Amino acid sequence: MKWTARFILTLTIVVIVILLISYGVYQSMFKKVAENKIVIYTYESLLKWGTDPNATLQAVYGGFEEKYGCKVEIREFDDARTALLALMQEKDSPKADVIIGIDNILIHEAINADVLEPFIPPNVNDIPEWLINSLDPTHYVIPYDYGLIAFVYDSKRFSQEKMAGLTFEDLLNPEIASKLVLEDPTISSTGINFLLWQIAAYKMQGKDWTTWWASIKESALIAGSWGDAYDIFLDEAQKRPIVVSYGTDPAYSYHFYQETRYKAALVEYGGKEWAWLQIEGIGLVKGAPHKGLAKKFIEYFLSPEVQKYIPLNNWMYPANSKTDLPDVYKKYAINPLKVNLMNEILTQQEIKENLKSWLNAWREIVGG
Amino acid sequence: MSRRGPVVSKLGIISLALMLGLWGVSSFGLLLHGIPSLPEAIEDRAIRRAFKFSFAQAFASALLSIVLAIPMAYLDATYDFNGRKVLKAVVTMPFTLPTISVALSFLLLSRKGIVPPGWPSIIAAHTYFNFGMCSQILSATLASISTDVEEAADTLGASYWLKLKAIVLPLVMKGILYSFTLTFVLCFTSFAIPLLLGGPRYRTLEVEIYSLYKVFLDRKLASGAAILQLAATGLISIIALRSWPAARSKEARLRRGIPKDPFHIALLAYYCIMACLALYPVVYLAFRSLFNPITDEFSLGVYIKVLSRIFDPSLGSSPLSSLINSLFFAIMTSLTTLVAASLLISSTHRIKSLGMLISLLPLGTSSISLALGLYSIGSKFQVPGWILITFSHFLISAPFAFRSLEAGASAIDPVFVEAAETLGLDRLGATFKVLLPLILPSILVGGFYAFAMSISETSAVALLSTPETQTLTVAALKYSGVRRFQEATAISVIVCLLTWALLGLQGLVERWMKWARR
Repeated sequence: MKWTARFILTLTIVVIVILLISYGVYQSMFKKVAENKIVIYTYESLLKWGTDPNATLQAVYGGFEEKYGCKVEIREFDDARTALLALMQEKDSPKADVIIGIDNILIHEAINADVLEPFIPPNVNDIPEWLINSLDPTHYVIPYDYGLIAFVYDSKRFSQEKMAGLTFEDLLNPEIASKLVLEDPTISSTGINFLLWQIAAYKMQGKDWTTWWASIKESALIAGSWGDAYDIFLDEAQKRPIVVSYGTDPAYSYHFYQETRYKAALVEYGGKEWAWLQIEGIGLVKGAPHKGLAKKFIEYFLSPEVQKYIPLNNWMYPANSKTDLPDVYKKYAINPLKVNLMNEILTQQEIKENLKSWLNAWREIVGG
Repeated sequence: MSRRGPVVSKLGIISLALMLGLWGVSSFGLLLHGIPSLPEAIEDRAIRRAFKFSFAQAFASALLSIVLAIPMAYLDATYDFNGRKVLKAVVTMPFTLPTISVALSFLLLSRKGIVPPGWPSIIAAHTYFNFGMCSQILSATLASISTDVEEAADTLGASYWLKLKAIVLPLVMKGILYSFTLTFVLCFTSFAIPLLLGGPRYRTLEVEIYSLYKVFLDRKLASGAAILQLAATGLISIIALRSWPAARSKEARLRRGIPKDPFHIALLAYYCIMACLALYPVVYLAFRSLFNPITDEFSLGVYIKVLSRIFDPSLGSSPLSSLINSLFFAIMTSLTTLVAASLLISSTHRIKSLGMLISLLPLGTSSISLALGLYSIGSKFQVPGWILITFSHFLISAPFAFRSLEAGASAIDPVFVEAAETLGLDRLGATFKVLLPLILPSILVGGFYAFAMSISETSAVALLSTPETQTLTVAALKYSGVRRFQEATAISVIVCLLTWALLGLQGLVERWMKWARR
């Protein structure tokens, strides 16, 4: 055998082809032959925050598979925005049946993109009407959980007294601002929710919201995502013991570590606590290939059977009013029903019309 | 030089057509929406600001990486000493790290006041990420240049500085330009590092494009900005590639023992310091993967977990299958890019330069728009995700293979190839029988970087993969998304070990080839 040029070249190409074929065969072994299936698009951390995420996912998706004798295919994206972006890319030939995770901000863009179809599940009466109306009165998506955005702080590194009765204006004090980690609203979903909270607070007082950012940008740290922000918060060497996160965080750290040092705080105006509510919804994809099953799945996901997993696995309040809350919630989480919601100050219409110009203004002030 | 058979050009054109076709198909939407929105993108103040910053930091980072790499490359290519291979492997490590780990370690350094925050920390992180890669390409170029001239200069009493300026630099100019353009393009389009270290103020164009796509859902403006990015990276590459003629050499470099004078000892010390710096984040990651902060315990258990065949619902598949997928994509990428590169360097000068330029297009194309482009192709024509991932990895890795091979080949005197042709071989035969064996170090470097690019690539696979086709990096992303950091860091360490294993394997191949030649 002579190692001629053609021989080496042919050999390499043959190896490449053999590799391709065998990998193709390997991949085809995974193909589920199930005719009866449903494809769900969601974000990658849905229901994975519990003690045994494997068991939870098995109970939720496996439970549906057993009940309807079908296969559930989950496609996870790094967040709900990317899942929506994927729906938009395949608008002409939809692959997904259901999307989980469209929140009260993303909803405007989702409706605008024309990738969803309104659907009212039979058990809709178990979901409080105010919640449905705050997310989407037109029923493109139905709420499955909700929770508050809050300032989470480490009480060992920052005193509890200083966080009590806090206003946005107090945060501008360099002593507090230099300890704060925020999220960039032009990149992160948590960041947008926080921005709207702050805009609403300033609107309530008749003030220009941009002045707050012009001042805080010098000393607060603005991270690209909630995960990055939380890493910086937890890493004591970074010296940033306050982070914008969720009102259920203290319940989470108590549940897992019996740790009470992490606490959540809201803002206070006129002797009342004010907060911003994030509501997440599930929706039917327009032109879904398996529409019948998809409708069943939405109903199933909103039923107490699944909703009971929400508090300790997604760390949000379940939307279904027939679901019991665990004790840690009663003791350590901030209950959205007991505070004033800033969401009422910014109407859905206002958000729809102004979100992009607010984000643009933010880009100019903080980035410039 | 005039004898070039028709077979030759045709085969080089296959590589060209493959690159251009794949890129064109995936970027069709981008071009369609982007070109009309170009004026709007240029008007946008935030985009303009991001463009300026991208350009400035990429230029500075690329320059700094090369300046730091030259002494290491020189030492590595000229002398043989114990531990040379280990040092070389260690300084290449940063390039194979997940960029997010690099960003996090630099954030910590800037918080401690070791690196100034803001843009200096971005340049520092980019330099750290790329200097080893530059050193490898430079060293491979130098390795194909004979030491004769330098020895002559020594005899004539030239100083080190003069030798560097008058002999070494001109000889490696091609390698310098290649590594400069690669580093420039990588830094210009960088995402994770500026996102974490620069905050909203120091944003690269890629961060801006990502935000426009995902948060503003403004596909038109995002595409316009992406075209701007493509134009800038393309322009720099054209300027760099149309430059200096390559130096030629008549025989391969022979490594000799390192002299014991202060200058060389200082060089060696410098090399060792850089290696320690390169090692720091890897050690940090390895520590984090072994240490469980909840139970305060050290154990290797996490490695058993991330290599198990047991189905993990958090991933939607078993961790072992992500390892298999990663290896498949990486091996596939190395093989295909090397074949394409070999065909390309056997072609005419014109096709070669065109190939060099075209190969940079995918790297200069915003990765989120490239991934979205492939995604819509996949859904329109029912192409399986794994084929799209193979395509995208070929596209982003090809420039590394092309540049390494071409940098090596440009240092070889064409007389060798011409002689072989006179003896009756066609150009392709001459390339394979004569040229390729001469530039073996460059081929190994090219293959290594193609492998490394593929195995650490995240943005395309994250969008294109299903649980069955997800790679190690996507698994790490999913684990860190639910704050299972031990698993996430353990996977990063495994990726490092795999690339290290490949370096070891390449060392063996090199030794075997030397032995076979004797």
